[in-house]
This record gives sequence, structure tokens and C-alpha cells, in this order.
Amino acid sequence: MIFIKMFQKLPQFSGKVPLEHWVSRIAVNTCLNQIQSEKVRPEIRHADLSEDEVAVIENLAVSSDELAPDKRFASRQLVEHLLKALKPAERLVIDLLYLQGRTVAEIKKVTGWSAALVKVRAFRARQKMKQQLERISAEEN
Amino acid sequence: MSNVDPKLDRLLRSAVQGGDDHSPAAPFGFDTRVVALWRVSRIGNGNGLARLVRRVAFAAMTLIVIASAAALYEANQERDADEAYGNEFAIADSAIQSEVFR
Repeated sequence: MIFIKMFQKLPQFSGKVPLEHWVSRIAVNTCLNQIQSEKVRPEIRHADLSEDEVAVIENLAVSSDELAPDKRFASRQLVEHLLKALKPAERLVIDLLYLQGRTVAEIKKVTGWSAALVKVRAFRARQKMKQQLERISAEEN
Repeated sequence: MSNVDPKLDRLLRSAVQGGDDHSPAAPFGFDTRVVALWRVSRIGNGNGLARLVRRVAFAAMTLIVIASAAALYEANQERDADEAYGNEFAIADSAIQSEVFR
């Protein structure tokens, strides 16, 4: 992301300061912006979702079968949307536990959290994701 | 995993497989924009990278010219030395011949 920004801002580089200072300033600003956006965590709206993602939500509501293979990418995108609305720690635990398939013991080792904390954070994150899904479904109807 | 809401569980399972299927791609037109920016910056000569490349090329050219001049100078020196030796041998040869005929 920092290198992309560097490319985008290349014409703005005046040459008055050394290139290293300019690049490090871009890196620091990018990190600060990322931290700021982490704090905002906007709610997901039905209108923000693609047609495929909406189709996945409809499918989840009407059927109890597994999602079709062609819906896998859309479901991944939907999960990414849901994760954005979570706190960073909750997002991490969902990613490790469900998307990467790590065990609680492994997460405990990686994060340094206790097993109870991992389970509590996973539970809260799941509850939030469930509520988000229900809210989007209700918005759709 | 057992106490996960069934809908969420199905969604997460499908998402795991979706992550493997799809390889992330650059956004549409990204490469074109990067190349265009690079060209503009090259024409404008406003960045440090272009200046650095120019300086390196100039230094390399200077080095090549100096090395060529030195090599030419060395070659000329050797030729003069050979000629000097040749004259000495001729003088010595003619002296020997004149002594013999005398």
C-alpha cells in the first residue's frame, strides 16, 4: 500500500528533501490513516453489497444446504465486509479460527491471549457477525 | 465451532473455500496508471530517481572516456619504445658491418 501511494504521489516530490525522508513520511501517514480507519468501523448497508453477496444472503435465509461452489467467492467477500465492522482483535480471532482453521491452542500461542479470552472474543465476534447478517437480511425484506 | 449459528457456519465454510479459489488481482487499469505516472515523471525530470540514473550514466561515460584515453596513451608509449630499440639495433648493426669490412 505504501509503495502504491509512493507511485501515486511521485509527481508531488519536489526534490527539496531526501527521497528517504519523503518515503518514510508517506509510510507514517499511511499507517496513521489505517489506524484511524480501524477506529471508525462503519456499519454495512445492503446497498454496499454486490448482487452476488445479496444472493448469498438470500440463499442462507431460504435454504439450509451448503452454498454452491460459484457462490464461494461472493461469500468470502461478504465475510470480508462483515469483518470490517469488527474490532481488530475480534477480526483477528475470526480470521485465525475460522478462515485459517487454527486451533484455540495455536491462537493462544500466536497472540499471547488466554484460551478463555480467545473463546470470549470469538463468541462476541460471531454474535456481532450474526447480528449484522440479520440486520442486512431485514433491510432486504 | 459447534456453537456457531448455522447460517454463519455455512457462510464461513464457503468463505474458506472461496479464499482458495480466487487469486487477488490488481484493480482495473492499475498497471496503465502506474506506467503513465512513470512516463510523466520521466518527462518532467522532477524526481530523485531520474537524477540518480542520469548521474550514474554520466559517471560511467566519463570513466569510459578516461580509460580509452589511457589505453591509447599506453599503446603510443609502447610503439615509441619499440622504435627506439629498433634504431639502436640498426646503429649497432651498421657499426659491426663497417668494422668487419674494414
